Amino acid sequence: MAMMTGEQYVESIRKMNIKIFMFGEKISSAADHPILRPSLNSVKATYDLAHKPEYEDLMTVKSHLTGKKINRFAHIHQSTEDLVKKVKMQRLCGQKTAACFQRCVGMDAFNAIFSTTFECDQKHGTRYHKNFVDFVRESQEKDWTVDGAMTDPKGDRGLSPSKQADPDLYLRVVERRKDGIVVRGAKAHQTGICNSHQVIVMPTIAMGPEDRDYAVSFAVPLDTENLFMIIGRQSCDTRKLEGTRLDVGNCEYGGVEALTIFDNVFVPNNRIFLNGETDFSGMLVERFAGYHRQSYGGCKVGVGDVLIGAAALAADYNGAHKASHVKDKIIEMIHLNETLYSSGIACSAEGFRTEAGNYLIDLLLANVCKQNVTRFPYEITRLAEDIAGGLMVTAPSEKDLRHPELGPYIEKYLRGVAAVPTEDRLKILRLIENLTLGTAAVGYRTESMHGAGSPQAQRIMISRQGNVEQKKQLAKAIARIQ
Amino acid sequence: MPVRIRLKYCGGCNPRYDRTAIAAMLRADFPQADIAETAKDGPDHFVAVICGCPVACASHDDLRGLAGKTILTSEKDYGKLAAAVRSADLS
Repeated sequence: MAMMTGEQYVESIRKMNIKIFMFGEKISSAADHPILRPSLNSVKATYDLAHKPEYEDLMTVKSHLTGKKINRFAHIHQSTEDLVKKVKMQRLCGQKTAACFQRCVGMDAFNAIFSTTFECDQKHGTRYHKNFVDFVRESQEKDWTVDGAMTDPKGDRGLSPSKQADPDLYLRVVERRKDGIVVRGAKAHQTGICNSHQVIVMPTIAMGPEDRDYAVSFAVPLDTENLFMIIGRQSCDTRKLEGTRLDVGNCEYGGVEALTIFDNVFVPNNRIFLNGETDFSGMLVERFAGYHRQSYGGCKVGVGDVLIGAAALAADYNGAHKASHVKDKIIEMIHLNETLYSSGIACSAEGFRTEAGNYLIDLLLANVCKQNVTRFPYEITRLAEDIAGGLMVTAPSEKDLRHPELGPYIEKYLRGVAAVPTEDRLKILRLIENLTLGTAAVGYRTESMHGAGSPQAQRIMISRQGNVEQKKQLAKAIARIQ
Repeated sequence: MPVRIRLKYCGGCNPRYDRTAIAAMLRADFPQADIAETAKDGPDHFVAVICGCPVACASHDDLRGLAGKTILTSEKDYGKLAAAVRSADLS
């Protein structure tokens, strides 16, 4: 089975015994809970789109390992064209779900670990690259959704992993055995982990020799013994329990995060990709972050496309679409969104071949891309709220709209232009609410700020990659300074 | 043997028109043609690469049409595809 259908994916998740907790209770499966199901639906879309002829050129690719057609989310990039098509695929998936579709993190982990394990083996004589290629091959063959877990809880940010008051605040090796390792710790903010098949764990920062036990990377199935997750709350999340669709804004798709606990989890030798080589921890982090910062130049743009469309519809339904300032705000939203896309495409087009043979993005441009993502979606949401008007946060509930006595008053007084049903106006306002301050704002706003690294992390990389000395030489030459 | 037309779409990340409308027009104008989005055994007479914008990034190097290949980047391009199908000597 090289490519699952969406339904096959759902059934495969349902069959797993993933230990999920939410509101103090154990959840039987992400496939069957109304708060979690939209997250699973977003990933399901990545399987369904791959089977549609009008999308397959982006959604699928030939594996360089097996020669078979695979979902691009499981691909090791073989060219700059692959990098560009990755961003285009992400834009498409953002457009179709208006949510985080979650598989990017695994794809980015695949490509970062592929090249890092190769170079680690070259220096240290380890055999991690073979372990990893075997894992990728199996992932492609079984069409797994693979979560990539990097962010440790981190405790005191002023202290290194080994200096923390509680040594488990960064995930670490607690036992080395002949047949593998035992790890303990946690990974935070894991979007989509509750509906993934496997998780790849990576270290979260560059490390020194004293942090040897923390320089660890591996993969395990998500129903592994002693692994469990606690779902994070989202603004407006329990609207999904009310049995109505309109108030949810996006009733089909979403994304949820979890704090994932590794409480003495065993990892067999053949799934270990880094185990104590601290000098490669920084490389792995830098490459993963680079790929993931590229990703945001696609996924957030796709979600932005939906939000711009929603704002334009709100203007139509309000009868304000001809106002010059409204037109100008829509133009500004498009300008900001396409600027994000520009840097996503640029860092891909300027990619280069690694020693392992896969392609890495231009790290400077990828960090510029993500730095813009920490800002522009906030301005896009501000403009969307401006155009939508206050009703997006004051409209009555769907139950009131359906009420035999209250409904007619809502129909009468909340209508915009006469030709558009009041319910349609409310639907589009709820979608804007969902994206700007509801459940989807987790992905479109705060994830834009902190996902793939907080703003300062990009500024450090921009400083390192910015080539200021060459710029000084340019200025000296023009100014005729010897 | 009916005219065989193989359709290949770009991935559709930001299409400027409804790409599937091209297929619908082809099927309406050439009801006898065998029009397919997926590969079949044997050669195709035509290949139509339907791209959503002028970038035309669809991968199609591996596709060959005995009577040619047309790359479309807008709805206006349908005319040249239809003309090519009509005028082709498939004997």
